[in-house]
Amino acid sequence: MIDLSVRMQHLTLSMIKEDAAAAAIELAKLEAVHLIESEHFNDLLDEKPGHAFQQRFQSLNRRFQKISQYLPDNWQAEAKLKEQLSLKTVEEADHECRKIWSTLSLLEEEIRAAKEKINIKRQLAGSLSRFENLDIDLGKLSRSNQFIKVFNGTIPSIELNQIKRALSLAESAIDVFYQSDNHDYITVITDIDQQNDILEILKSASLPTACPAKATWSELKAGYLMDNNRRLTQPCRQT
Amino acid sequence: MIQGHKSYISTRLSILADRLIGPGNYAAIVEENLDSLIRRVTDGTTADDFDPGRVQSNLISQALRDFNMLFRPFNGNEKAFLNFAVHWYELSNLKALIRGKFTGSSDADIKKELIDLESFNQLPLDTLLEADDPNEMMRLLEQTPYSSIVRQAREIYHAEGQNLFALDATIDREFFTGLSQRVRFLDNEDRQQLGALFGTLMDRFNILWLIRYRFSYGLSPAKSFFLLSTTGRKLHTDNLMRLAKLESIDDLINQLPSPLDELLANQQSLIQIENIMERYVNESASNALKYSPSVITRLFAYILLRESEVQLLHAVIKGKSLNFDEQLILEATGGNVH
Repeated sequence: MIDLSVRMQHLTLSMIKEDAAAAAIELAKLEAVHLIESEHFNDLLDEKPGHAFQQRFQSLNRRFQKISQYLPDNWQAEAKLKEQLSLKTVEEADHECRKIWSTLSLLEEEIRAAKEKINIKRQLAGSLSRFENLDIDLGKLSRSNQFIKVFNGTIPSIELNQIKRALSLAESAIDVFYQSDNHDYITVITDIDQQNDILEILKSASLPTACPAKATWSELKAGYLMDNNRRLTQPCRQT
Repeated sequence: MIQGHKSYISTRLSILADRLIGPGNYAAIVEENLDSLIRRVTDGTTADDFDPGRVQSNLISQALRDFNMLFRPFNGNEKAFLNFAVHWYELSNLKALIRGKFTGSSDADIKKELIDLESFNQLPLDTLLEADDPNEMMRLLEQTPYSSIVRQAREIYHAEGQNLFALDATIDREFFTGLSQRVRFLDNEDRQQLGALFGTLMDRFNILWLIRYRFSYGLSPAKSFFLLSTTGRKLHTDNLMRLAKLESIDDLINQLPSPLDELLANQQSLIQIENIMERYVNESASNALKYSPSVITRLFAYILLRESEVQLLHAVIKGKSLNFDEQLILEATGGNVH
């Protein structure tokens, strides 16, 4: 009679399914191992069944969180889960959320660009207010010319010296016509053949824009106000 | 910084400095077998279990742990300078993220290139990786300390051809300008000592950038000069403007001030020039580490030498994993430069 107090050490061996039979025979030959096939562990190592689902669900959740910022405060989900959620359903929902987010992201980008434009125009309008009484055709400066190209805009003051030296290497002229706290308002005059090179340098120095091609100060100001009003009356979250 | 802390840092630095691989040992490192090199960088992993792709990341993590320990007693402007200097490593994360998102690489591929900077990390890497499109990533970047490069990143993204090189140049330029500004806030003695070493480092980068911009990328003298960073020890604004106008590498080397002209005489290969200039900076850093009375200068010198060691070990392990010839590895790592 086997003593019931015999102490057994439980070991779990994992192997490829196809090798299980051969391994069991080899182990049985030792006459020291009692093999028990447990249904509970069957197919556990075939794959990580929850992994794909978990990854996809996290992706869906992330995208939904991004979209939910655009939903009204009182929004509530209509549907409630009544059955098990399949991987396919989560994938479809994730794909749908990706499409919605892609549209929202584009609109968000348009809003950001519009706000940036408003800020630049506001900055320009503010700085040009001291020239309000001069009825100069500012647009003429930015128009194409047979031999020279003129750029107008603002650059961070910290970049001014480096730009001046770089432009001197390209035999181009630069004039600072106004200085604010951290920015210099500049006019750059260059050979038409060098305009692309100079424009790249100015862009690298964060030149936000050339002076808009509006004819006079009063038109520039009117245009600025009109653009501003139009932008500001548009709802920002119209999605 | 109080005297006790200075002594602590000096002792720590001396111990760590002794462990650095000196230029005389480059050949021995290249001759060492791969298993032993891998053990050196991973504390015991064998070549069979080792992922060569993670070499650089492991080495940088080890270096950052040491930096973290060394930086601890500092505060104020000194700490700001040191922390900023270490963000050099974060620039590679920033570039990998931008490049990956702009070219539509998978998040998994981008993630492989990222380095975990632990406590030095300023970029929300997971959030940036989860961005579904480049526009979203740039909006997220605007909320980080790297917001100043976003404008140019946007222009490059919307421009045809996506000239990512220009963005890399801007990122590097902003970093060195920022570092140079932080040197100015240090005490007078530190500023002088550190300024000399920092100037030597800038000479190295400015020469290499100028050669690359003018003769590899074919940029105009004006654009090449504009993209250069803060001026160096031997190469000041006037030198750099004059050099930018030259039409060949030979002319440029001949016009360099002494001793740079002799060091680089007759060199045409960018790799060789890079190795010689690295050795030039490392010699200056070794001297500063040994003799400078300024603790922060010694620490900066150690950061430079440790970074150089990371690059050396990374290159040697990568070369050996790919079964490259030892002589070739030695040349590529500058081990043949005397």
